[in-house]
Amino acid sequence: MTGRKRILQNCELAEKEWLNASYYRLRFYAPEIVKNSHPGQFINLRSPETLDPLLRRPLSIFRCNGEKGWIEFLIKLVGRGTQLFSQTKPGDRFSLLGPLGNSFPWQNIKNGILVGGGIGIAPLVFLAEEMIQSGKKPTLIWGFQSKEELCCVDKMKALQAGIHVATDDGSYGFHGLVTEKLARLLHESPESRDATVFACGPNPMMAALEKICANYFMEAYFSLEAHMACGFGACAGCAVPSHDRKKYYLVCEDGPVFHKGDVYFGS
Amino acid sequence: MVPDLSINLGKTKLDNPVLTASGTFGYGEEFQEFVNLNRLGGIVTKSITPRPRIGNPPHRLVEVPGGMLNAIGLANVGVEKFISEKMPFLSELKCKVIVNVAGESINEYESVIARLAEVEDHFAGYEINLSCPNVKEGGLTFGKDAGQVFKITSALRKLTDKMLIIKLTPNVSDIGELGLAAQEAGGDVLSAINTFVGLAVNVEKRRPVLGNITGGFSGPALKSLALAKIWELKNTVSIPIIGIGGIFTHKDVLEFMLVGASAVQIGTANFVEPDVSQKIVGDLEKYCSGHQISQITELIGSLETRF
Ligand SMILES: Cc1cc2nc3c(=O)[nH]c(=O)nc-3n(C[C@H](O)[C@H](O)[C@H](O)COP(=O)(O)OP(=O)(O)OC[C@H]3O[C@@H](n4cnc5c(N)ncnc54)[C@H](O)[C@@H]3O)c2cc1C
Ligand SMILES: Cc1cc2nc3c(=O)[nH]c(=O)nc-3n(C[C@H](O)[C@H](O)[C@H](O)COP(=O)(O)O)c2cc1C
Ligand code: FES
Repeated sequence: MTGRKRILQNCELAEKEWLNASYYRLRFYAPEIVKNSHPGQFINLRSPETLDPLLRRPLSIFRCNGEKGWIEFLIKLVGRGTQLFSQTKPGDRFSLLGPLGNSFPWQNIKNGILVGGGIGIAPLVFLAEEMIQSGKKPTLIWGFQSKEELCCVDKMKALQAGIHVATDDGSYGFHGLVTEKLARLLHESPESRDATVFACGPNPMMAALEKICANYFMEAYFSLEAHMACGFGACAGCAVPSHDRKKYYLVCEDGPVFHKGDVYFGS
Repeated sequence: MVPDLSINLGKTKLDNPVLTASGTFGYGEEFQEFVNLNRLGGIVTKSITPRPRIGNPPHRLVEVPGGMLNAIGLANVGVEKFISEKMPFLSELKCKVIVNVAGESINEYESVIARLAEVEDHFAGYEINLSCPNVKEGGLTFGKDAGQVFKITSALRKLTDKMLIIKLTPNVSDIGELGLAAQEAGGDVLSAINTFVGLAVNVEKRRPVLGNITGGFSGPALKSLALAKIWELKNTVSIPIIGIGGIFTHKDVLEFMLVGASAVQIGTANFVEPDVSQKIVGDLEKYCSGHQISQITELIGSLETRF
């Protein structure tokens, strides 16, 4: 990462929109942060009005607009923090800290396959938009539990991105796991095997992906999550084991994006 | 009139009573983009051990009502890398730098202090972590026993003339006894408290949330518990006390000072608002000006308890 600059600032919520029953989008005007943001990076958010919930919540940058200076987050309802954020309204104050972490190294690659599981699509939308803007043609393979969870698919289609959707229950697109869909694609079209995979999703998905990529000798980068306190390397709380399990990486500083073979995804 | 915020910890004078707590402020440099470090009374480093430690398996932390649990496991670069990689930055600072030291045996504490003594011109003193709840060996084991506290403090006292701060655990029934042992063995200052041991459970998985099973509780709900420990110490020892636990605002600092702390350390709050330590210094200044307090030391231990 070059020219790392982290900004701590209060922002008023500009827009909020529910995209399905459990995903919503928040928009803030934060030009300084936007100027320094790259796909894969995250922001640590909190409501300055309360110490309960206490810690900041890490959220990937979902979209941003350099000209207009806005930044967006795609958030899934999980627990107290994401619940509280979902109850805010335009004009409410948030504290933003970021951009934090490293980013997807997409600039020098030929083709990208962006594999997302559930809310893991959030950083991939920013990545896809940047790639498309610079003339690349990423392929998106996204998995959801069901049609009800589907999010941003039409938007991606409108951008002319090649998108494949898998659902666990078969209610939309391919019936099965996103990794099965990827395996099928790679099997059927050998030319797609020179692409680099960028992925974000649950750890079992990443573990399966890593194996598939290894089979075809493909480059791959994974964006990880961890419980965090600070977000900038000070607390050592966000550890993930290295592949050989002899040391730990810090997701907030060494990641969140890791190269294939770097980390241990668990058995 | 600009109020005088300076305080003394034994022979050591600090510009103001606000320090940052070990393990919550990295090695200082992590916070330089958010805080003018020289505005602080001082900073306390992460615990340093003889050799690097990789720390505990994840999850290492989790939020719980009123605070958080952590089981970092004293992950740190070890004393050699601390000297070669972290000291150069720290030694340029004008605020007081205190190196926190931990180990698994008296021998390990001694070896870190002996090594640091070779370069100790660059910092103000040591804080001895006798209270980490997250390592199986050492730390808390000594820290809970007054006899051991006496033994380790005397051993380290022989190795340095620098300020020796003994950091106490609250996980005992009589913290006063520990403080007294540290004082009698030649400790200059006490700091209290470290975290309370806690446990969080994931019901779905029927597992503890933390990889280490238990962790240390810190955050807002710690404050009233910490204040009671400071009160107990204040009534037992005569050496200065640094108050720690759930401090988020200048008002919290004032509470600790009234109860008897000469200075304070800000911990978990640094994660929530990275610039909070500096803000608290500013707010203390404003408070003292607004209340015609010319010297902040007037407040120390001035709690009125006769009704
Ligand atoms: C780098 C990074 C990027 C992320 N990007 C997004 C995103 O774009 N959209 C989105 O919806 N979510 C994202 N997450 C996950 C999000 O941070 C958690 O869902 C959120 O913190 C849950 O908070 P809560 O209070 O609602 O849940 P609770 O379960 O009540 O939270 C309790 C504690 O655990 C932590 N926690 C719980 N789940 C997670 C998790 N999966 N990852 C990290 N910490 C967790 C919380 O931060 C909090 O400290 C990201 C996580 C990381 C680390
Ligand atoms: C993530 C984390 C790491 C900590 N690491 C250390 C440490 O290495 N050494 C130490 O003496 N105390 C450590 N502590 C304890 C703090 O210094 C402090 O005593 C405690 O958190 C209570 O203060 P607070 O409520 O303001 O956080 C740690 C605390 C936290 C939250
Ligand atoms: S969250 Fe504190 S070091 Fe990563």
